[in-house]
Amino acid sequence: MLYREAGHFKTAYSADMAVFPILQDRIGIAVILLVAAVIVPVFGSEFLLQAVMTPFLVFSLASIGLNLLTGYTGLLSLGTGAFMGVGAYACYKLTTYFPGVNIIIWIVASGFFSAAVGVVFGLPSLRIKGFYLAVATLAAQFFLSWLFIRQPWFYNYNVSGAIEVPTRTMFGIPVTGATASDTTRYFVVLGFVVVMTWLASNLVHGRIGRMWMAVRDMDLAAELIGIRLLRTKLLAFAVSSFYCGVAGALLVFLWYGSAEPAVFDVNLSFYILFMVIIGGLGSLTGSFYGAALIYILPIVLRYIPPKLGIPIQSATVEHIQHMVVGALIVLFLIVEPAGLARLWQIGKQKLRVWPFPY
Amino acid sequence: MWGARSEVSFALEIIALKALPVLILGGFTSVPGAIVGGVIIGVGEKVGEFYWGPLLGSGIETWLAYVIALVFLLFRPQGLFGEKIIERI
Repeated sequence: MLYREAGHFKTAYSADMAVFPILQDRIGIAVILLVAAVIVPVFGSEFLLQAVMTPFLVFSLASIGLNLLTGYTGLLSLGTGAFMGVGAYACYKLTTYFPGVNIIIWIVASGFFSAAVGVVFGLPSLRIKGFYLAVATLAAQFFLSWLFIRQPWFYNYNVSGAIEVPTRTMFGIPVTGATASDTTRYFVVLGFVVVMTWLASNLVHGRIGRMWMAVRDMDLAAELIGIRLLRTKLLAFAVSSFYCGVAGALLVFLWYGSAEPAVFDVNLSFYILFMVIIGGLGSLTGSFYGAALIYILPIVLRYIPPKLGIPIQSATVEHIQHMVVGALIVLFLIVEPAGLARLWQIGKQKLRVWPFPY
Repeated sequence: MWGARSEVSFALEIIALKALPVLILGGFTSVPGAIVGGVIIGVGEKVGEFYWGPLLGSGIETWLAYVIALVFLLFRPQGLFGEKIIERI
């Protein structure tokens, strides 16, 4: 009734190719942005900003990065954690060597370092496909995390072996380090996520995205219609690693504050991969749904029993939370193997043709 | 068995991941391949650790197995005894 194309008259090609062709979609995205930029920071508690929203946005960004590679280009990767680590360590080295430069510039620059590493480890993807490629990227994962543990140069010969985020200011306001307020950090992360999601959306709707999807559907056929596999696959690796690298730098600089190499182990890779699969392969909004389900749902489950006044020990809550989240993941995958994004699409389609069945 | 040798903990999942390079090095559809792959990976990473470990800083056996499998796959994408991959359009 409310949500349909009827009545939207397009008078230009640009309107026809818009990312959100339906007015209600545009209103919806504006409302979401308004909530994220105004209502959450103003009314949200410190806990909500620092422990829920900031990590959620960081994980969403990493999921988008992996989704570009696995969902759009069809190259299975288990090296996400390591690429995030490259971003974090590159940002740390850069900002300790050049303390005067704005930290935002270094966070973006660390993405390029991560992209370069991603391209190197993406080279085998030309010959190796599917499940085999997962092992190739596992090599990247284990090699890089070994590098961060064993080579003291990466953590500036700290005794603890961890990287500590120094305080960096922007326009006189501390952005990173212990003195930075949660609101500032949240705004920086939000800015990164919004801009990079917008860029990714433009990327996948354009020529490059079409090339990636052609390679995903069948790379031999894609090669036959004139897509250069080498460039396309390496570009996918580069862009994906760029996103993961920025997400890793944000993770350490704006959420953790300090990190040891164990943060970027293979579990992080699986964590992000779960988000992508649950959210929906080949969907940018799906990355957000996946991150919300995997990251925010356990937090909600942890705080529901005390709010209801049920006396349970915290260890039991932890176990119940694992069980519920695991069961929900299985349930979602049975009900909708294509991910939460597909559920959302089905819902939209139903809304569009309502009150008719089809 | 690994648990009997060292100890049983959640860190055992690393073993499941170590099985992947063995599997693909031997070839997916071949049981003898898994045995041969296991020997190559197992011996390879220990020998590598023993001879090159001191040069690079110790602990290289954590990733050497994957790199061996990776280099191997570049020359023989189907593994040692796997069926040849044929693609039709």
